[in-house]
Amino acid sequence: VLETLRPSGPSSNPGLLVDPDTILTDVFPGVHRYCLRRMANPAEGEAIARECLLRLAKANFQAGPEGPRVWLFRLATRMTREQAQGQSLSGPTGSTDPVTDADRVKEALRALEERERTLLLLRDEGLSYAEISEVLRIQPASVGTLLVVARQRLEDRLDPGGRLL
Amino acid sequence: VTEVRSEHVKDGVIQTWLDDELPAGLATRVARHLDQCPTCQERGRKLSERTGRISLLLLSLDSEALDIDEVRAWVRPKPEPRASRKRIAADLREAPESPRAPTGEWPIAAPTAARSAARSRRDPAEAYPQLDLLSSLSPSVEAEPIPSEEPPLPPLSPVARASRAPRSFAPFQQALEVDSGSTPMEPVVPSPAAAQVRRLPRGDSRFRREQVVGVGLVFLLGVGLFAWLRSDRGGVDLGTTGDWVAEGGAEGEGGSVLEVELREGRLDVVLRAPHADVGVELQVGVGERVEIIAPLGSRYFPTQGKVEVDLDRAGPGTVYVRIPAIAREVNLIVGLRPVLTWTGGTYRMEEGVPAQTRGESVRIELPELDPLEF
Repeated sequence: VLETLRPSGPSSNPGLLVDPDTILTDVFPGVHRYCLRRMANPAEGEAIARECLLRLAKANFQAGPEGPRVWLFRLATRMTREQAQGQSLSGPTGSTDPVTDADRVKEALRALEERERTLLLLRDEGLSYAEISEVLRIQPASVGTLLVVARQRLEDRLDPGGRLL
Repeated sequence: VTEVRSEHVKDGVIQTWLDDELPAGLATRVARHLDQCPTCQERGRKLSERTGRISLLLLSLDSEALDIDEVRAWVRPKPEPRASRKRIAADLREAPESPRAPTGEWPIAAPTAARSAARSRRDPAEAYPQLDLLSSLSPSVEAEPIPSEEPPLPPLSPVARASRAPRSFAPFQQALEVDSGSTPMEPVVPSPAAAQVRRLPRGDSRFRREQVVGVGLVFLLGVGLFAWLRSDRGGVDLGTTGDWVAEGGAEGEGGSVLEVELREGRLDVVLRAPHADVGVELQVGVGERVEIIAPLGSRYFPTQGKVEVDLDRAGPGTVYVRIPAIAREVNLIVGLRPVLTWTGGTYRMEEGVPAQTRGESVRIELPELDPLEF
């Protein structure tokens, strides 16, 4: 089925041609997980992940010089951020006390700055420093330092006393 | 290179080394330093442990595995109409009161594939194996200073005193509503750039304390423009009714001209995803349309009363906005932030937006945006 989605014309950069099924199996699961982690409402994360994939499919799975992986994460970052801007800071579940570990982690993530939260989640999805810098438009050399700070702040928010969940 | 035997390596550099993201030469020097510096070695161990803990914590957010078969169905072409008719016929056959129940057997749709097992996840212990190397490194080489990780910010350009324009988001919100894909697009005249760029009559321009009065004179584009606009049928549709992409014949050439008609004398120009290499220059010209020249790779999304310029894939350069003198109001919005309004021959800039004269046009430095701003 996916054969029909292959680019029919010459690509401006043939070296970046990626098998659509490879995107579905190797790249998209991370994008999907990333969207769900970023959104308070899983259904919204699911919808955004799906929208990202459909847009890539509409472009014949060709996504510019950065490649489909970075392109997908960039679009997912943008869409989830814009969607979250329309909600309260704490999200739909923020009105109640977190009851599970996942709730506590989500609360702690939401308390971080947007860039820190994005950085942590992108790195956890296995993006390289170069890819992260492409998504966040920051210097690759600063990714390590920002990661250290973000992880420290996340831990501090989870348990100021140093004890993890 | 100065040797810094006694200095410690920054946490960020250690983290970068742990993530195997340092250049080879620097990685070797950091490794040698860590090998002989118990303090840094301990910090590296803590960083690695924290990374593993955070990774485990994030795992707790995941509940449901992704069904790849379902994902494939999202991008699968729609079934043939014949299959739909069969399904309807099958439904009729199952209805006991149906007078049109067929006698034949109809194929039953294959059940949805079972959801896949829990997704394979990276083992934090395997993801950060570098920590084990700390004890096996040679202690014979001294470390060298770690270069600064972030270059200093360049000095800001001279700031023109600007008054805070009395604006609201209402026009922009209205424009957002219009940009739903259902509104017919205003006529847009894409045209070869070389044929559109011309030098305008010289006028006077001056800056005042409270307002910057810019009167046009087109400058720019000393290089030949061979770019043109084409409908971006093969590109990624971002959800508007019309989008145009600036292309060029060769790297380094200028952008393309987009002419947009005013709507009741007004137009919002929205810049999306501007990066540090893109500047904005405005000028007042003749004619009846707003002309926009954006760097190669920019994409235009014109709708009624509004044009969005997506610079996400644009190369370095300048966005030129030429405003016809007859315009009643032109708003420049960067991301979600209004930065400049042109009304009645006067530029009004938002407070804190740096601006400077450039020839006889006005050049503004884009406000610092959230790096995530598109």
